[in-house]
Amino acid sequence: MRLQDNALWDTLLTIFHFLERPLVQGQLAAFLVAVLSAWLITSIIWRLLGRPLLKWAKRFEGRKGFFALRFTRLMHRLLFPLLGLVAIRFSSNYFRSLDTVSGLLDECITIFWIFTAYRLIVTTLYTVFPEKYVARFHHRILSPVFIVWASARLLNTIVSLPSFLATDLFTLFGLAITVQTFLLATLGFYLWIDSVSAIRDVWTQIVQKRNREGVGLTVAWLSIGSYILFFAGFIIVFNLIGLDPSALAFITGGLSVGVGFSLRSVLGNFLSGLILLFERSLKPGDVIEVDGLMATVDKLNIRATTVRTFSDVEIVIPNESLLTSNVTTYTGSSKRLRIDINVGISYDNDPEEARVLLLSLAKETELVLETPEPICLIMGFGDSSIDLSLKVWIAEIASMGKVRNALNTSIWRTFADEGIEIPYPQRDLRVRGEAESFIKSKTA
Amino acid sequence: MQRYSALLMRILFCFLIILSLIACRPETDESQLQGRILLWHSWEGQAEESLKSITKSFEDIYPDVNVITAFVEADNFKAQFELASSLAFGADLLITPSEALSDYANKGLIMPIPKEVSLGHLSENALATTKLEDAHYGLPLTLNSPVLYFNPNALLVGAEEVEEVPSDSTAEDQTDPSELVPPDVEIIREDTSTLDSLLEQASLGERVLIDTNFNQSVWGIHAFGDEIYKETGELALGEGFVAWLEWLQDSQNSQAVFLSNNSSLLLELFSTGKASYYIGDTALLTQLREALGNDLLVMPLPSATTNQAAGYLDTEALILNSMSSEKQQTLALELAKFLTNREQQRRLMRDLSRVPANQLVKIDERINPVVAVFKSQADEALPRPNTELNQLLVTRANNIYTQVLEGILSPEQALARLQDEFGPEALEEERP
Repeated sequence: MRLQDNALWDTLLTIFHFLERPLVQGQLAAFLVAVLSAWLITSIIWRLLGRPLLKWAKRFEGRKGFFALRFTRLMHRLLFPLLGLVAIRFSSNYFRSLDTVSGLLDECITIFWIFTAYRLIVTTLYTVFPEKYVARFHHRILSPVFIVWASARLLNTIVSLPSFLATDLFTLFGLAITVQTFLLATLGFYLWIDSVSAIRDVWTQIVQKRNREGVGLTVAWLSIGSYILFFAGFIIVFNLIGLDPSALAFITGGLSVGVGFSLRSVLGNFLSGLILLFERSLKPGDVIEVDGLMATVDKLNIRATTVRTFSDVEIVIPNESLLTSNVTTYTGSSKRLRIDINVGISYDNDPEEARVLLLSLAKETELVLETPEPICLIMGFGDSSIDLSLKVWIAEIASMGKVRNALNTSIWRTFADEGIEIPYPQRDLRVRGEAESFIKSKTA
Repeated sequence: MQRYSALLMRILFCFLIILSLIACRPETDESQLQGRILLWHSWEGQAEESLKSITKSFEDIYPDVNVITAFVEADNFKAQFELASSLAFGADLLITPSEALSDYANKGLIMPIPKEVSLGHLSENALATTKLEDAHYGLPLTLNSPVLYFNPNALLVGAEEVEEVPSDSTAEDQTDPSELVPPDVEIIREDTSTLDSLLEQASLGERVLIDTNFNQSVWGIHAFGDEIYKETGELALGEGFVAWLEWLQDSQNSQAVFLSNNSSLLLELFSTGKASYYIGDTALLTQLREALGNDLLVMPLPSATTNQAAGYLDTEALILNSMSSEKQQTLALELAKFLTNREQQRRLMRDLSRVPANQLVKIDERINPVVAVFKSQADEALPRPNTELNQLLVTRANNIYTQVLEGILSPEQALARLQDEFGPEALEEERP
């Protein structure tokens, strides 16, 4: 790789060259003063009026309150660019009145108009869509695009933009890489990747929220589609650079063994993810047991799956692990779940009576399904108690804790009311020899 | 977000401080040239290399000076310069055709050459192209005027009827070379010092291309002894103009004479070897040599009187940007003076066969026969007036030429029309 031309350096020197001109300095100074003044005034206004405005907006309820709040925020966001426009326009008019060149200020006015429109669009997006969706687009796509556009517009006033873009930067594998090619391959590719990723992520989130049944398939298609678009973008960039595909084949061929070994697990996870998504054996919302912990499937990505335990801890599990190991799912083909409540009663109580009581309690408890019917079985004669097992079905795992709590509470209270004892663990002690005589004499 | 805004404002504030410091820094010692010059041009290929070599020599003489040259396409030059000037940008020194000077000067984009600069070494004719009112708005660098180009290898038009070439046709519609006379037919090529001898050549099958745009056919008017303007500035067209138009009408009888107001088409026809004679500017030499090789010949324009015919003289002028700072203008002026000094002008003549504006450069016909012909034409050429009146005349005359050649107007009527509109009485009426 070698730098072929001094064009970039010359462009930088040209910028410094123009900055030495009093006419340019004057316009730039006027612009900077205008912008700083606008910012200062905006800060002062917001400091004085911001809180009262927000209070006023919060007085309204419902839809009115929503729009009042959004309107206040819109005003806050637009105040600075609008004041800036006024200030720069004032400066431009002043320069014109002095019969001095003001073209640079007029150019800045155009850029500020676009900046105002950009702020309006972004604020509107924040108003209409959830913040987490918009933030991604705002900071990673819209902002860079605006900055690139503004820079290109200013650069075009200094040098001929087409000529600048056609300038050779360096050579790569014998090919001259121009500024345009370089920018397309880096910035353009970044924006492409990020835009596709953002659209995929937002769409996935919307789908996951609305349609849990078909979400796996949709997510699978979105993922595959995004990777196809990434690859298409890569091919386009490759073509734009003008690289010979055989060069890539040569590199990948030579490195394929090493790359294959290194990426084996990644590829394995990728393919496992596809299988899981298409098979629909797991989907967001499913409750599974992982490493002895129960967790809910949060996100199904192409490489790994994110689950959230009931303690709100996220665990990221590579898809290959999920595919190749035993996974207990409580919500596979059906979300219905059976809870077993084991109760021991005293040998002095009637087990049949206790069994009937338990069944009636189960039928009275909220969230316990009628079909299948609750059953109660006498499981065995334990050391300390007669063991009964009450088996009830609930609609989903989320209600397990609630039902178990309700049943345990009602069992304890009802048994207490009916005189049915839940014994502690008991042991009969047989004392022999001198100790037996001693105890008998004392208890006589 | 507010944090970022505050940070950005702090950066802008610092930039404002830096800008103030740059503006207020003390002036350095001006006795030694130092600084940077930005030069815009539309020269390509070998011409660009030659220019860069000259600026490099300037940098070698003044090591503290850096010259940045930038190529701007000729078609886009004016627009680019006007846009840049509106922002106080643009090069400090520009090489541009002299016909653009009046427009730039009227818009205040260029500054006049300071009166204390000595211009005695530059040809008067050349200086006339950069003069507006009482000031010179540029230094002429090279001269440009029409000459007669001859391609001895061009295919000839046969004696049999060939398809008439429509005026708006492209080069692809032209006569199939297989219909042309085979090269073993002997053609006696006579000199073309007169318009009649040029027609004789045409009758022998040598195709002649003539541009009928007014500016490009001023040489024809001059060939019949007329000037365009009198010294007083009044229109001087008379019998010579009528005779020229009559000659053009008569030449249409020859199948080998091709008249057109499409300058690009004519250039393409000649560049592709489909014509023997072509009247074009001296600045086209490099391009035509690349297309036709070194057999290309250059001859003086044919005349109809004893005087040598000559067309309008244009120059490539060095102009100074009025948006530059004082120091930048001083440096640019020094570079302009360097480019027009005898040694550098000689270099341009030697490397690019350009006609030097510096009259101290001696041109030896034996060493530079082509430039010698160019120079002789340039010496006789009429400096193109940079006036609004001339712009109007050109527009009107183009229209009248078309009417004459289409038979709508006679040459006498054409003259009468122009005199009605631009004669002394018409101008007297318009004066406030």
